[in-house]
Amino acid sequence: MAVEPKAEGVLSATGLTYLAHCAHAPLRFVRRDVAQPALGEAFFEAPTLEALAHRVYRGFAARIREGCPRAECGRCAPGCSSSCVRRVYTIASSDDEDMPEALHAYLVLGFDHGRGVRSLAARDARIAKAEAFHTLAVNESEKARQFVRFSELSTGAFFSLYTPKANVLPLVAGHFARRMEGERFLLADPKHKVAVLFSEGRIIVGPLSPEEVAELSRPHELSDVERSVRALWKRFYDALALPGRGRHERGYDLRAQFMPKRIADGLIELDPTIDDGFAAQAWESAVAAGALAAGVGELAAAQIMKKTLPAFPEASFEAVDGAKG
Amino acid sequence: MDTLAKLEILADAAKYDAACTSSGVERGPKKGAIGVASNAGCCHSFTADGRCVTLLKVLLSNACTHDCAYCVNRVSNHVPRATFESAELAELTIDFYKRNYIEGLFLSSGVLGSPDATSERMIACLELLRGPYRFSGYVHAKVIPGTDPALVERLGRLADRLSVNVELPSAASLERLCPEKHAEDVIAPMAQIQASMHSGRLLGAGSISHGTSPGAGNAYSTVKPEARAAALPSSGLARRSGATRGGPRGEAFCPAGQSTQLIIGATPENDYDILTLSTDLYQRFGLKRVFFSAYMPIADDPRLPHPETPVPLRREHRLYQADWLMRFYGFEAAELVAHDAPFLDLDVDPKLAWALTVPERFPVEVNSASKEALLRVPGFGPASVRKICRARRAHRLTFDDLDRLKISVKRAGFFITCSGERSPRFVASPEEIREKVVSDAASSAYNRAQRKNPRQLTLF
Repeated sequence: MAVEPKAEGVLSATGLTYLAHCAHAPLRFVRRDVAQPALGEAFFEAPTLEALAHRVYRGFAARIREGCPRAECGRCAPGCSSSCVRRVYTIASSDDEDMPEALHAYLVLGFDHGRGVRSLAARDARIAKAEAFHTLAVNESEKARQFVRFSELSTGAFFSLYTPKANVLPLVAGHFARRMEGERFLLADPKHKVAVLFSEGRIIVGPLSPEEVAELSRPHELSDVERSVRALWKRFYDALALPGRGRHERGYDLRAQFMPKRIADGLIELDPTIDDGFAAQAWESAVAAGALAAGVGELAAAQIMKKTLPAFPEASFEAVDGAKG
Repeated sequence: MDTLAKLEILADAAKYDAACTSSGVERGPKKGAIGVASNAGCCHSFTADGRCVTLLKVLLSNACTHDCAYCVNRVSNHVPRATFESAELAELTIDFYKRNYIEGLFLSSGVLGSPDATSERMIACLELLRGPYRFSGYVHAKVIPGTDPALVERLGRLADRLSVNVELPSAASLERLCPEKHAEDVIAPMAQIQASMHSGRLLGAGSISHGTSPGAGNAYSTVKPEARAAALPSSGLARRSGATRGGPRGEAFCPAGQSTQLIIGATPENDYDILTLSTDLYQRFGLKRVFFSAYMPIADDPRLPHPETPVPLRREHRLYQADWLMRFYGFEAAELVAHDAPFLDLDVDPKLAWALTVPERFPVEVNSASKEALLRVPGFGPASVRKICRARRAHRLTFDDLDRLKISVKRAGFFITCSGERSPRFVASPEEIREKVVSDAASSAYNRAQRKNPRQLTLF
C-alpha cells in the first residue's frame, strides 16, 4: 500500500484493508513519495479518507483503553495507555521511509494485543522501530520547545522558522499557544512545509506551498525593539559563562551535547555578530538596498491566514505533552 | 547606566548561584495574562560550560553590605555595582519570555542595607510583574537570611519557588567566612516556608502542585513520600504522584517548593557531612532540591583554597549523582558514604561503588527481580527498568532482547542474569569489575583532559 506519509494516511489505509478483508501479513505499507515495488510486488495507491482515519483512530483508542481504569478517568501514568494511543501521531511525525510500515504494525498489533502492544518491542522489529520513531519525536518536540526563537515583526506579530528532524511542529503548537495567550505568532518549518499560526486564540496548522516557504525564508522587517532585545539576550547569555568549568577543563564540550550544531546555528545567543552591531548594520544596509520588502513576513502570514487550511485533529496538539515522561 | 550594562553586571553577579530550574508547578494560561508554568520545566539554552539556562537569572542589585569571603559581591570586593529598576526588570522578563528565551525570572539580590529593605524591593518588583504586567510564568525568588517572616510570606505568594541558601555546610564555616550571617537566620525562613506550604495545602489554596514530597523533584519521582518518611530504601517506578488542586481562596504559597545551595570545596566538610546535611534538609524542610556549587576560587584569602586550585567538577558531579540516588532510587546517605570512608569515589559513580560493596545482592535476574532491585543495578535507570518490566510481561528476556530494546548492558552486564545466563562481560570479583570500569573510563575525554592538566585539589 502506497500511503500518504502522515497519521491520517496510514490510519485510512489500515481501515481500507480491514474493510476489504485483506490479510495484514502480506501487506507492506510504504510512503507514497518514495515507493519502489520489489520484484513480484504491486502497489495500491491508498487515498487518505479523513473520516475513515478518525474512525480507525477512535476504534484503536477504545481497544487500547479497554480494561484500564486510569485511562477511563483520564488519569494516565507515564507509559500508560493514553500515551500508547497518542503515539499514533508521534510515530507518524517521523521522516523515515519505514514509518508507514511501523505505524501499520503498531495499529494492527494494537488491535490484536490491546495495551500490551508495546511489550512486543523486544521481539518485533517493527514495533521496536515505532518506539524509536516515537522517542525521536518526543526528543525533537522537546528541542522545539527549547530552541524555537521568536522575533517580533514590525506589525507586533511574532515569527519563527524552525527545522526539526521530524514533523513535530503540529505536536508542539498547543504548547506555544498556551505560552503566548493574547499574542499572534507564525511558526514555520521549511523542511516539512508546515506552518502553525496562532491568532485570536485559534491555532491553525497547515501545509505550506514551495512559494510560501521561499517567501517566509526571506528576511523580515523587525520591530523597533527587536534588535535591542536580541543584544540584551546575547549580553545576558555571555555574562553567564563560568571560568574553570569549560570544555578545556572537562575535556569535552557539554554545551555541544545539549545544543547540536544544527540547532546552535540558528540561536541568537551563539551568533557572534549580534553584540558588535554588525547584524544591525547588515540589516540596515539590506533595507537601503531594497532587499527587504516592508512587512514581508506579515504579508506571507496574512496570505496563509486567508487560506483555508486543513486543521489537524485536536489529539495531535497534545500528543507529546501527555506522552512525556 | 543603560539596561545593557546593568544586565551584564547583574547577570555576572548572579551566575554563581547553581539553581536554575523552572519545574515543580503546572499552571495553564489565564485570560489577559502571559505565560504558563509546566511541571517538567524547560531549558532554553546552555552556557559555554554546559549549565542550563531556563530563567532570567539576575540580581536586583549587587550593591551588598555583607562581606562573605567566598562571594564575588562582597562589600570589600571592588567590582562595578548596579541596581535594576522594577519596571526595567519586568519588561526585560516579558520581552525575553515572548521570544521563548526563558521560562521566567530568577530574582536574587545582594543585601541593600538590610534584609528587610532588600526584600521590600524584590516584592515591589514581583508585584509589578505579576500585577500590571500580568506575567503568569515561573518565578524563583531568593529569600535573604534574616528577612522578616511577614515579608517572606508576601514573597512566597508571588513566587513559584523560594530558596534560602545554606551556602556553607556547617555553622562553624559560616561563622568563619560570613561574619554577618548566622545559621539560625537561614534555618528560620526554611521552617517558615515549609509551614506555610503545609498550611496552604491543608486549606487547598493555589494552583496545581506536583511532587510535594520531600526531595521528590517532580511528578515522576520514583520515591513515594511515605517511603521516604519511613526512611525505607524501597521505591516504585515512575508514577504520577498526587497533584493538589487549589480552591479559589488566593494564590498558592510557593507552589513549586523550596530549594537551597551548598558550596563544595570552599570549606573542609567532607561528602559524608554534605550528604547527611542534605538528607536532613530534605526531611526536615521538605526541600525539592539541594544544589551543589563547586567553589570557584575568586579571592586570595587565607581562609579559602588557593586561587590556583582547580574547580572540583568531578566531586560536584558525584555529589549530584548521590543526591539523585537518594531522591529517585531510594538510597540512603549511609549506603553511599560512611564515617570511615567519608568521600565519594571519584573514579566510579556512587551506584557502582555501592554495588561493589554488596556483592551478595547480585546478580539480579531481570525476568523476576522486583522493580526496586532492578533500579539498584548499576547502568539501569528508570527508563530501562520500565522497558524491562513492560517487555517481560510478553516473554522471558534474553540479552539479545535487551539489545533490541536499546538497553545498554555495558555496565549492568556485571550484575544481572537473563533467563539464568550471564553476560559475556561478566567477571567474578568486585575488584575485577572495578578495574574494568576504571580502565574503560580511562579513555574518556574527561580523564584524558585531567591527565593533561595534572594539578591536584589543594584545599588547605
